[in-house]
Amino acid sequence: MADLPQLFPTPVAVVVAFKDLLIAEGPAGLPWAGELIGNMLVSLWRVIVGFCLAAVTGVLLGVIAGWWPRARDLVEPVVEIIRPIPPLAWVPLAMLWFGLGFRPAVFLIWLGAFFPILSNTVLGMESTPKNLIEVSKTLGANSRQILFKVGIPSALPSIMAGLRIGLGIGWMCLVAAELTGSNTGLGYLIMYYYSTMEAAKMVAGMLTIGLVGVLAFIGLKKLEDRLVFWRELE
Amino acid sequence: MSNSINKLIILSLVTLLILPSMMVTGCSPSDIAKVRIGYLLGDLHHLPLFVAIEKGFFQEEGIDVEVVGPFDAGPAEMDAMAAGHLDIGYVGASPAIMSAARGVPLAIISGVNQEGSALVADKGITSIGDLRSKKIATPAPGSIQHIMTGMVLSENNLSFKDVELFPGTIKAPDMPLNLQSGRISAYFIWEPFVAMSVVSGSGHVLVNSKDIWPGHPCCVVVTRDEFLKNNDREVKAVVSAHQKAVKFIVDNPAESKRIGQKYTGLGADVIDSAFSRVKYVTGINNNDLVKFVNGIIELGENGSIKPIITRKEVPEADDFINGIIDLKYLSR
Repeated sequence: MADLPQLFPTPVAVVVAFKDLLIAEGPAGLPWAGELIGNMLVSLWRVIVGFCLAAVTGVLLGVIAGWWPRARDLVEPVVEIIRPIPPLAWVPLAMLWFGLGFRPAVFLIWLGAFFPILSNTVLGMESTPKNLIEVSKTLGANSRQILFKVGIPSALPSIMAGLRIGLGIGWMCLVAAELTGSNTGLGYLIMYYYSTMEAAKMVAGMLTIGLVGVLAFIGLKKLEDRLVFWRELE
Repeated sequence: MSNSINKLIILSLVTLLILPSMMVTGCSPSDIAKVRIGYLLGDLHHLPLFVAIEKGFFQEEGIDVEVVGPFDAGPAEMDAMAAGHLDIGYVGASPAIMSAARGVPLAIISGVNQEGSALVADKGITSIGDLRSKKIATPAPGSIQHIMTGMVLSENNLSFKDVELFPGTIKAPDMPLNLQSGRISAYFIWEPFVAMSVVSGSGHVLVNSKDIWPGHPCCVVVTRDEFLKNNDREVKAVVSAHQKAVKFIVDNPAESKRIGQKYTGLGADVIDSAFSRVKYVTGINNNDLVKFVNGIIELGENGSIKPIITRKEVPEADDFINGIIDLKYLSR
């Protein structure tokens, strides 16, 4: 059984598959990019849009809920119920609500990325050192100044951690999203070659997902180091 | 202390390495008590299997079957067979052929049906020409329905590049709902998923598959070579039971339809409509399968689709098909 290339492609076969996928014609609209890069760009665009939406909504709601206890009491019960639902369970509903291709994928990425960003933001805001707030009040800062000059900066490391986790989960959801109801993207590429029983090309697609995931993670870490520059000073 | 932690790490690493290989080799295909059979979810083409179970034909032939199916698409079923988790499969000829072309040792031991698929479109689409730049769903790339979609498009001076195709990423049971909600404009699928849209009124048959290719091959019964070699009696029994079931369907359509309803959970009107398009037969026309294989190869060569089966894998379609078809168990 182990000699079935259908089940266990050799490393050489995977390298050949990489080469084949790089030359083959890309998806509609991106034929020049090649099949692998073209589908990767499609996936990347979906993740960027979904992740940015999650970052904006998650951080905004997180700051509000983490700063004002009354807001948290409103948000928390809803979030706690929805959060444990795995994004995969949303796939059929995403298809029904948003149709095929771009929009359901963006929705699923948003869904996957939103909750870690939200909870980390809430956590960061809640753990703003009380003495810092007291000192600011003593020095005559108004509540708006305390929020923007004390609360949010002190939550920034936690927010960045949430963004990093959110990006990872969003990237995973993307592939799940593209396995059904899609005809472009890396998830679709894997599903296509699963259907035609070409395991080497599937593995090439999977490795590409891993590779892009690592690069995105490193990029975000670099951004974090720049934004939270004072951490090095302490 | 650190020594025992090291041991623990080594132990967990070893477990991590050994566990997957145990899962792969754990179920050796020898000494099977029951014959493990798979089929596709809600596929009315596989009615002979439902009838054989319902009427006790397998017991009559002295074997015990275990249904390990239903699978939601042919490639998944053929993967299970390649991995040795399935002995007998009711499946489309295409995934079986594709699996064989990739080197999986298997044999097609009977036909199940011919025809029985259709291109279903929403009411606004009245000709193939209307499908230009519309969204169309088909089963997996290389499936009979996918290839026939290509055939019908090219007959009308269109190609796959003129439409937006979703090959294999919208599952058969999801197609009627996607048509109804307007997400797609058409789909090419097997029964009863044609009839579902026809009866609900959300779609109509734009082209019946038998008008594209009369008597075209569809589902077959397939087994692993190894199982065939070591379980002569069981294979013979399965084929006899299957043959009885097909004869039963032809002789008793009314009762067969009721069994079809029971196993698909669909209404009598849907099953009635579906029945009018499916031809249950046990025979296989080798030439049709040769034509099919050559068709896939040529579509890949002329760039209509990505190459799915190549001449390197199948230099001679005749020899290839004759090599995987083994109808000696069918009684005439």
